[in-house]
Amino acid sequence: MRRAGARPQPLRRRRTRRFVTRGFGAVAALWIGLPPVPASRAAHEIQREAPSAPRNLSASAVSASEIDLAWSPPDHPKGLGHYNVYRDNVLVATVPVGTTIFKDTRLQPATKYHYYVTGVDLIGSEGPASNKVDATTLTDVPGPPKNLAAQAASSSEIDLTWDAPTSGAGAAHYEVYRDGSDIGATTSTSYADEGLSPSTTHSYVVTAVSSAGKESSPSNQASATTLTDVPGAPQHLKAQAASSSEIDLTWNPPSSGAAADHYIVYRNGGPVAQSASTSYADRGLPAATSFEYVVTAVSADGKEGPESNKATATTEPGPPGPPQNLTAQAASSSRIDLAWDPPIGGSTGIDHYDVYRDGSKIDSTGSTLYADMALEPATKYTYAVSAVGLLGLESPRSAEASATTAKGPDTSPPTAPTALQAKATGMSTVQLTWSAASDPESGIASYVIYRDGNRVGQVDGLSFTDGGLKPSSQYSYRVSAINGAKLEGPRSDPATVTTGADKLPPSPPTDLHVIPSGS
Amino acid sequence: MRCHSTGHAQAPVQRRRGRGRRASVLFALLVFVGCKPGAPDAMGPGGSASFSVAWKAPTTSADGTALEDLASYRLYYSTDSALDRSTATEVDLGDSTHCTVRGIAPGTYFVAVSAVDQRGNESDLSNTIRIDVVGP
Repeated sequence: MRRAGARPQPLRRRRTRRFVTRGFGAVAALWIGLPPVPASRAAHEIQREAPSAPRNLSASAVSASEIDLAWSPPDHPKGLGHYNVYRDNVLVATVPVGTTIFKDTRLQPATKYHYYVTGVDLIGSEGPASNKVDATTLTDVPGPPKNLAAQAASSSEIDLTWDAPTSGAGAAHYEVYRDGSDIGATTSTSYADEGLSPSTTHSYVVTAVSSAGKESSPSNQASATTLTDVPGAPQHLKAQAASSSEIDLTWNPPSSGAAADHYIVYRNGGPVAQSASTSYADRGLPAATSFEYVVTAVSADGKEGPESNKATATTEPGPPGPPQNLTAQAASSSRIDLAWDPPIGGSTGIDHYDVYRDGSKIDSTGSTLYADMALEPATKYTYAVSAVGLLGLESPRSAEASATTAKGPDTSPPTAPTALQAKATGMSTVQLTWSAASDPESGIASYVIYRDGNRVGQVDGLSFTDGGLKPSSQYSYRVSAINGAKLEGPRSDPATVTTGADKLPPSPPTDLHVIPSGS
Repeated sequence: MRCHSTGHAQAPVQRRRGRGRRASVLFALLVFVGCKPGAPDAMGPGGSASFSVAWKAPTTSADGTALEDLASYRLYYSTDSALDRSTATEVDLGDSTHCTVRGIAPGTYFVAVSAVDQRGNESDLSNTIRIDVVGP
């Protein structure tokens, strides 16, 4: 609407054309079949009857580089020769009369342009401008994708969907951003983001990219959290006593989290069983005892979930359970020490324990230790214990435990030596030899030699020389063995010997005399 | 089988006290060489004097039977005229019937010998003689 600025140009040009038509106006008039008019007169009339303004100019952008113009002829199109099209006050096209549209191309995208049109008569006089319109070329950037939605598909995958942009240039493909980083491209309007960690939250945006590589602004942001890989807590755990020694448990699978592969049953805080099903019968419990249970679910890859609700039940009254972990250990040749643990559930409600040796009850004790005395040496004994409750009910017996007492001291003497032989080796000495005695327990330590009933020596070996005897005298010998426990065995059979006959010394030398020195 | 004296080892040590151990051993070897059968010698406890004696061998045992197992002789000497086997110097000899005792101090000695059979039975002493030993 800057009419003031637009006027001087057509006026100056009109003056120029006026000069031109003075020379050629008649020829031009003849050429188009109009009655000739005097040059001075014609110029006056044309100037006076210049075309009025085209009407109803409209402009519409049809692309990022084209705006289409359309208008209506002036009210008095008489003598109209062509139209001048001005863009941003610059003549950009001349359109012959009869054509009332113009396609302005090769424009910049997303740019606002200002248009008007004038009519020019046959002799070049230009009329006033039409109404003025603005139009803006379309953008060449796609609009942002719409309605992005993110949803966890598993513990490692989030699926994205979105709608194509409804504005801007067409989307040739889409870029997907996770937490600000470009993670991939797709030509479809969905994307599966895989390889994610469990229980992690990610936010996404998507952009559209035109075939010219122009990327849109981001879509709305959408977030999702991958699913957990840990099972949820089992539901509705129930515990119910089935007998004096059994409590039955039932529960429901977890309602969330990873699938449960199996379950772990905890009794009073400690794991007692695995169960593939959603029930468990806890057996071997002590009577009239309360237990608290929880159950957890474990996934196929070993991830254990949180605990279920706690459930408590009390076994029915009855005898205690059997004592546990009985051990028997020989302490000596006559004593075996026993030790055991209370029944499952502890010593609550236990009055005492009964001790059984080789199947027979031998004693009762209030403790979990017992020393069995006065046993035979080197003998194996087998024990069991039972627990007796406050009501006098006795538990089953424990598992058996055996021990063998140590070998006792050697109380049996060795055998007698054999094959005793006595031989006189002179008139005062006798040589004795014999064969060894034996003692399986402690072995032979030494031998004792008796001459005529009197002990005359003790040796480790199998021979002895007796001296200081009288010549031509008879002596009787026996030998006995002594074992490692210092026990003496019976004496051997006697051996009798007579010493050699007496013999007098030589007569003394005679005629002792001095040999003269130097002879 | 050779002359032997209880003073054998002591005499050279006393006499060679200042000359060292090697000389003592060497001297002892010389003594042993000197005490071989046929040239019986015996070393006294000290001194440079000596005497030599001889005797006749017995031919019977004390009961008059023939003596067939004579083994050796023993020589006893003492400065005490009452020569007692328990106090006199005893020298075990071989079966030679003479012996020279060396390395004794000059003086008056009383000497006797006995015979020993193979069972160790020792005879009574022979006659006792008096010897006045003078220095060399």
